Amino acid sequence: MNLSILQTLGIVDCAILKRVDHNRFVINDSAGGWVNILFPETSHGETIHIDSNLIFLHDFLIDAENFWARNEPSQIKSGIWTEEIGRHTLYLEAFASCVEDENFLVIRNAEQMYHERKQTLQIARELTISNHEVIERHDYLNERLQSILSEVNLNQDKLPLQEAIRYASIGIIIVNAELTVLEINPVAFEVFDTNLHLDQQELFNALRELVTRQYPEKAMFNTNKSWQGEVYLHMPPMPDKWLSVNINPVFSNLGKVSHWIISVSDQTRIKHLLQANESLALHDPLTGLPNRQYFWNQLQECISANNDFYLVSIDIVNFKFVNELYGYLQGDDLLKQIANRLAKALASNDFITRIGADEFMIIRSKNASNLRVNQLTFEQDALVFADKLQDICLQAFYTSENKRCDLAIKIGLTQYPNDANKAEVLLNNCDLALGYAKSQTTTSIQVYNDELKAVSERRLMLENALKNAIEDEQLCLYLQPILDMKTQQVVKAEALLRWSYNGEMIMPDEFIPIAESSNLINVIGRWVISKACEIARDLDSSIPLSINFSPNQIYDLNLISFIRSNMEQMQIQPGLIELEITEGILVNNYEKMNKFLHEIKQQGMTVSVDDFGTGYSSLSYLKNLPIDTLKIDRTFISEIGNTEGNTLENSSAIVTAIIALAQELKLNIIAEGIETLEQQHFLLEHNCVTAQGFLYSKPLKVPDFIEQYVTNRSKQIS
Amino acid sequence: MLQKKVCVLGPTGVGKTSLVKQYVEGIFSDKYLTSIGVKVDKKLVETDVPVQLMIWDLEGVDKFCGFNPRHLRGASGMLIVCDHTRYSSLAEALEILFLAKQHSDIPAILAINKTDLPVSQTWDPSILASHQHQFEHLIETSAKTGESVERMFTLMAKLVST
Repeated sequence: MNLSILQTLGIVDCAILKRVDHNRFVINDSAGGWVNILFPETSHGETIHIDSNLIFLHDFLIDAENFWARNEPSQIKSGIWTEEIGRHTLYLEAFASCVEDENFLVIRNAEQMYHERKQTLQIARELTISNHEVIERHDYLNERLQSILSEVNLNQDKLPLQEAIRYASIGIIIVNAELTVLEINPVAFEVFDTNLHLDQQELFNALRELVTRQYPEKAMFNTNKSWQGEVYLHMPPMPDKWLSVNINPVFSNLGKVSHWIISVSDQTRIKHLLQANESLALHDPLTGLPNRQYFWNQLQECISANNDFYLVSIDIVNFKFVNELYGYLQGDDLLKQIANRLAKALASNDFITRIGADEFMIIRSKNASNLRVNQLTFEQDALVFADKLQDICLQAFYTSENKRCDLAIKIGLTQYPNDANKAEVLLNNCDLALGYAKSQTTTSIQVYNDELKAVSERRLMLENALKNAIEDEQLCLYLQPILDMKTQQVVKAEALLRWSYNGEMIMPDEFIPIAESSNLINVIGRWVISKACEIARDLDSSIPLSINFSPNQIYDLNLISFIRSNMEQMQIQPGLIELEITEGILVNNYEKMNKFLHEIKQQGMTVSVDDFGTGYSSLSYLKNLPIDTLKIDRTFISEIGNTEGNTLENSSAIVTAIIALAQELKLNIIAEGIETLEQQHFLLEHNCVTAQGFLYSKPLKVPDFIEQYVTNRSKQIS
Repeated sequence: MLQKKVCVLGPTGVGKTSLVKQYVEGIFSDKYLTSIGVKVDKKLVETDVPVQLMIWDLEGVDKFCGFNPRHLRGASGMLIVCDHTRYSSLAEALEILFLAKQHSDIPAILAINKTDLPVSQTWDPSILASHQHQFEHLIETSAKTGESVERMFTLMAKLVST
């Protein structure tokens, strides 16, 4: 069938122009009509010159000429543009192509495509904008109420709070730690339905039940975490509604939850817009993958069918940094690429969804015949599958700006029906397995087991106990001396936090991550600072103290003034307190950290980088940040004297390199974890004179430290 | 006559097309109609030196339509638009400026549009102040009332003709 017939039948609607010279073409074939409007008074076979009157097309010809010069058998396209000529509006798209050494410019009537795209994107963009507005309103009110609740004693003065919420355009409920409603605004009643005649507590209880039933895996109100999402309200006879809900804890000075702020708004209009486009209602608009609602239905169906499956949860490691580094638009583009790669790895019966911002979930169905052919158990197959997912994500990604981006994923798996037979329990299990994989540096894939549940229960128990640790005086600081190895004199001490709970000594490695994830870290961090200042005073200003600093503490807004006031109160010189930070903070929060450290230095304090050599800090960070000391990580020191394999050589080389680096950058250097005289000898030989470790002393209780290093020294001096 | 290409860029729904339509045709519609692809309008600006602006109204940059640096080719200036009723649009506009500046170091004007509507409660002027140096001008506009629309394009014409 020749092109003219296709044109006549309306199957293609384009003009084909053959290039004869720069910006000069002969019309080979055209649909007439709109082509005559675009190129008036030009007939078939006549040469036309495309000049700057057709601005967009003229500009596209620059790309087209470059493309034709390459003589590649492919094509490039311009994208849709609108051309207004007189009273006519044309929607067009141009292609440059090369066929058998001849160059063609094809201009297509894109009117239908334009209208289809416009119809779809009109809905999608209205949704996006509405969502942004809802999120902003929730965020704003939450921030404002957090500030009021932290300043006002509600038992004495409720007025500022009442005023803040009375005229809010979204529903607000404020409850205390026992979940008793303290304040509620009229919109909250309107969002539910005033005809239901619920009192304020009944209304909150109904909302709480909705949220916990529809998101069972999130353990709402049992952890101290914020949550935001959508719930479906079905309470006949009132009409069904979709509600957007934000739940945010407010913390007391002791780090305990004092209140919860719940904001709620009606999303039904947005959902109706979604339903206008069925595909958008069940699919994530960014990746095109099924959304949470679709996934939930699918999961229930798989359980009803009683078919064996694995639930596979996938999290992209540190994706928020990708967004920060490349911007959200590039981040979105990368998410689409990841979704495509994951989707390609699936078997035909598998099901994938984007369940969170950077989280995906897969239902991996059991395929008995495949397992037989490959001689695998179902668990082995699931692990092979998880490995495959990991491998495809390890291959480099590229942004649309062609910048390389390396991403890693963590995977949690659980099996139906072996691990659980209810959807919510399976999701919980998967979350636990993923959480464990995320907390490990050496493991990327974790299958659910009962031990994980025990670990999770212990973690929850410790989290609850930690809330009372300060009040019940269970925390204490130990001091480990840092010595000049030549003189064997103490030049500094590191304050190390310990938690004594129910007769068990819990180490920071275990409880600091819990404190960080449960918002207790700022309270504990401040306690450490106060206590360290007190100890520095008791040491009679003779020995500086270094204290460990958690990355999350840079978000403690008034920390600098807190440090200053403590030092003033204890009348100690700022130089007696040093902050120890880890390399990770420098890499992940460079700008914020830079500002923070300069403020710390302005107070007269010093800064050291702990565990140096284990992170990924670049030399430029070290050069530009106001750092005084590098502490060589104990893992390198412990290898000195270890004669197995190449480890000794490697570690010695790293240690000498760090020492050289510190000297070059004019930084002090401290070696951590010295246990043998051989290590001491090696370090002295390489001009590292300051160290700490069990060779000199384990961490000591403060009175013991004072007795051993302050009192004795005074005696010696006198 | 001097002809200069100017690109109008910004996130979705901030009123880019409305600003161009108000300036070129003196028309405004309250209904939000999303733009698809590119539309080029021309307008003669009578400054000291008459300049014909070729105004490239580009589809909003969002997750459905990425930033296409090709459209900046040959441009002498860019107008970045944000919406003061939606604070997130400012962050997106700044990101678009960042992307654009990687390809073309042409002067930019920031239009803070929709001033006929109440400002977003979360709007943070300090963010604007800290990025002010990246723009030749910051202009509050309303495509609806026409506030500062003509002035903004005249400033753009002067900027690109010098």
